[in-house]
Amino acid sequence: MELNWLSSAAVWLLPLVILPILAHLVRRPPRDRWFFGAMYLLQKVQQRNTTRNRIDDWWLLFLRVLLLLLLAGAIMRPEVRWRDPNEQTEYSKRVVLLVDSSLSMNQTLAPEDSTTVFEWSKKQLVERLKEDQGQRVFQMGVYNEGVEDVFSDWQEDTISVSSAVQALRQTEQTTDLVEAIRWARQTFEGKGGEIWLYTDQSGTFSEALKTEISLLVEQNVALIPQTPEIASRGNLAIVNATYGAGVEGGTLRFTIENYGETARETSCTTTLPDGTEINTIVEIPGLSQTESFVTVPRVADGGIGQIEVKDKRLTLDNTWYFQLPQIGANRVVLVDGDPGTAPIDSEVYFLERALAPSNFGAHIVPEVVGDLSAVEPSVDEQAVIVLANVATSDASVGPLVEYVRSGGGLLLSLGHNSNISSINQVWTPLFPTTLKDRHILSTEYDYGTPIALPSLDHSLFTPFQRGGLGGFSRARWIEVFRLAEELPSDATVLLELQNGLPLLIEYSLGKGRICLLLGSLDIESSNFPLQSVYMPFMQRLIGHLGGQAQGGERVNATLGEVVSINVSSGMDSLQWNSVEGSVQANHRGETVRLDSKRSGAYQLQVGTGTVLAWVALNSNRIESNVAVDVPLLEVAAEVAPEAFYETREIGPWLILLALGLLLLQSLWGPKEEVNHAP
Amino acid sequence: MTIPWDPIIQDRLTRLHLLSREIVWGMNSGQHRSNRVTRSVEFVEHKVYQPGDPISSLDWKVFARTDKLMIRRQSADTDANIVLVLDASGDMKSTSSGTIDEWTESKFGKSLTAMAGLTQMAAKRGDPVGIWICGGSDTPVGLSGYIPPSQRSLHPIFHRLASVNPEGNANLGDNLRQLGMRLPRKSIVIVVSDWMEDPEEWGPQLEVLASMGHDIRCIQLYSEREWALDLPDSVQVFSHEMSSENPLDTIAMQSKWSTVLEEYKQQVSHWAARSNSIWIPAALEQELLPPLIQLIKGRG
Repeated sequence: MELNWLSSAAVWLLPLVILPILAHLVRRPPRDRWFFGAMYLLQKVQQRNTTRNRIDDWWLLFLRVLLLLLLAGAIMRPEVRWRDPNEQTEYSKRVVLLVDSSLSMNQTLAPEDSTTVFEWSKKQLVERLKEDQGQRVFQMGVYNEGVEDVFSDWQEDTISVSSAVQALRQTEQTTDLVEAIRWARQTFEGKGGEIWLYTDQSGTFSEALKTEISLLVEQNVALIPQTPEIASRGNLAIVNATYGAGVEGGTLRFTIENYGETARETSCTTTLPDGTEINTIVEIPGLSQTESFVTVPRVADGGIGQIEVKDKRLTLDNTWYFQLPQIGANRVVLVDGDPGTAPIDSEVYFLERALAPSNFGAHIVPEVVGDLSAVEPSVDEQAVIVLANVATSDASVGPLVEYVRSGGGLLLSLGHNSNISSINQVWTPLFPTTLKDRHILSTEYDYGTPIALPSLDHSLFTPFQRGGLGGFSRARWIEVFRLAEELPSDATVLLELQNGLPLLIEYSLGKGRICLLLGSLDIESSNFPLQSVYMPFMQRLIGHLGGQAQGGERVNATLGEVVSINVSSGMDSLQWNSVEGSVQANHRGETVRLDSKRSGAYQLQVGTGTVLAWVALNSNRIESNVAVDVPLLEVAAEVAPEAFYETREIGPWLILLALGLLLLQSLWGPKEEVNHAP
Repeated sequence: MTIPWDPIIQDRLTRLHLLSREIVWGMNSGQHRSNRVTRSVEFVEHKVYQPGDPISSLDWKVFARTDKLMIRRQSADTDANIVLVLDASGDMKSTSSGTIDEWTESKFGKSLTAMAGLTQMAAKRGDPVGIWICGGSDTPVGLSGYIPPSQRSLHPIFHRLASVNPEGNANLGDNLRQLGMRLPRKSIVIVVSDWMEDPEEWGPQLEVLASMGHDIRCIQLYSEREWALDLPDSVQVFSHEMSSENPLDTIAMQSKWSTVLEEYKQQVSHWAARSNSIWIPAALEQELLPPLIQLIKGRG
């Protein structure tokens, strides 16, 4: 039963109830006067002036306050309404059971109660079915993003319905209530009936829902929501986690949202692919987000990490999976082909500073060697090898090619030590095409050729979308190596000069990737190392190569999205790996889809060998918001109030009661008129 | 000095005469008629003339009968001087009902009745009687209005009683001190008051009077209802001695009132004992005659 105020604007009358109280408190001195002879003694008694603040006749005050309350209440036109039980009896023989199995149904009934709304719904439904004496027939649908009909036809046997209810499973998916009600309405086939809707009513209801409800009313279908009393709705969820974006490589930034009204302090555990756990304490004010971060140690392997918030109210959305593509610090080797006499003359001086701008933190600290022969290329030892202006020799090429084919990353930069004929003859396996010559563009930086703005489509340049993209055009090149032939189709020009000459080319070799810079990494060929964009770009470039070195495509997806991975048509025995084990991947042409309905870290692997893709699949956080915007019944009552409620206005009764009180007060009044006045 | 003789005063005077006659009659009823009212009054006597005695004091009648020169003691020396002290402060207007309509029922009305009765009784017996009025207005009061004890002071006293209006403070302590300096030896001092002033002020003066050999007798007029604080629960009290009017919560202050009243009574008892006074409380709600009889008989 609900109480509504049809003229709620009259609520300003309520403060009038203070008037009788004030009148009782600030009334004038007593009318009775007494000529007191023993005033000398009275003066010694200091307890005076108390009458002014004392209320003598509580009953009279109560009656007067009540009288004003009743009058104010009557003016506000209170209306009592309740769900009319008779409204459903005429068409309640056919019942469609709709059970919400979305993620928000995982919330508990109270902070100290571990029973979830989903479990409550099942229990209530089973008990209600027990009470049914075979008077109804049932159809049942379980809905989340879509609706799954449990029975093919109407069921009379409540036991089988109960069994089906018991078998229902909670999911992590979102809710589509409109679709569920539409399915239920269509199930009735234009005939009347009842919908027993078991839902937590979280979130906001759309206009489409109102349309569906009005259609239900037209078809004599009663919508009966069944929602438990949920004490202090609240939930914590990680809504985002990103590792190493921009210059902050090595840092995992994550955002926690508190959907409850009270501030909470909680512990978050970050688990890296190698099993390392990092705990963080975070305090989140009510109804707000808090961003925090953890520093990932250099020893971390690439893969998919997870961060978990400790929250008992809704456990299914506690974990967020994130890509961890970065490489360990000691897995980058810089081969300096032109060390020079002073540190600044070193070929890799600027690159080394760009990768590790400070002596602490989690940035990439490369290993610098002066001779390529000192390096034994191996994907197990190095994720990225940078050959900076290295003088080539026959012996070095073979291991490098094998290294890249095995999945290693290689960055080649050219300079005065690069012999074009030697490269074209010996190094061809590592180059996309032969080199033509070294082209002098200018003798001074000021007149060099700037870099054309790169395309933001490539993930390397995505972070520069917010700013810094113009920095590329400030880098001017005075000499570059030119290619002798057209680039093969699988090669990509990442950077080119404004005159159209390619500058940075990426191409694959086996499972690995090579980036070729047709100039030097130092300030010999350009002023690029002196630009602000140099440092973040080189960090991303090394990270890009290292990530690729882990093998496979990296995909961040939300549960419900279609996750498709492009693979070669000839690949067999593809499988999806997760913590729950391995499942055979469905190979549809050159595409493999992930059909999981559970969040987690997934790995697409060829047998037990190459990893083709890493998928971080997270549930939709729209379900994490467990607050109720407008109760479903209010929405329904707004659409068709006459169908859901019986109403009675009780204002006239209040006026009658007020008149009775007025009479009672008038009878009460004369008893206090005792005059002792002279 | 002209006494304003208006109908009210005339009415009051008539009543005083009537009431005093009633009192005097009442006091004598059932008693042995005696011209000696108390233990402290000396008998009239003769003594043998000694050289130096005033010749005017010789009792010639005795000499004629007995041929002896005898000196007659002056009546003023031998009769009891009665000095009445009247409290005419504003609070004496109070009655037991909290009103001031019937002055005869007020403390002051009772005081006047007692005064008139005692004056008439003294005059009838031939005792010198005087009056000292504390507070009041419309007639000379205090030292200026003092009527020393005399056998011919009946009418002046009555006129004074008829014209005085209770007002202001009594200042009992100060008045008793001034009176003590002017009293004849061994007087009977009868004080009629409500004694609603600090006992530490008037108490020592009573003691001084007692030390001077005076016989002190006091009537304390009070209202039983006031002392029991038997007032309406919420009432506005006022006093003619104090300008302010105070709302009074009798229920809330009951316990504290009892304490204060008890302390006051103890102080009164203390000073009554120190001054060897005969202390007679007289409730407004009770007859005045019994306390007066007690007073005259000296039974405190």
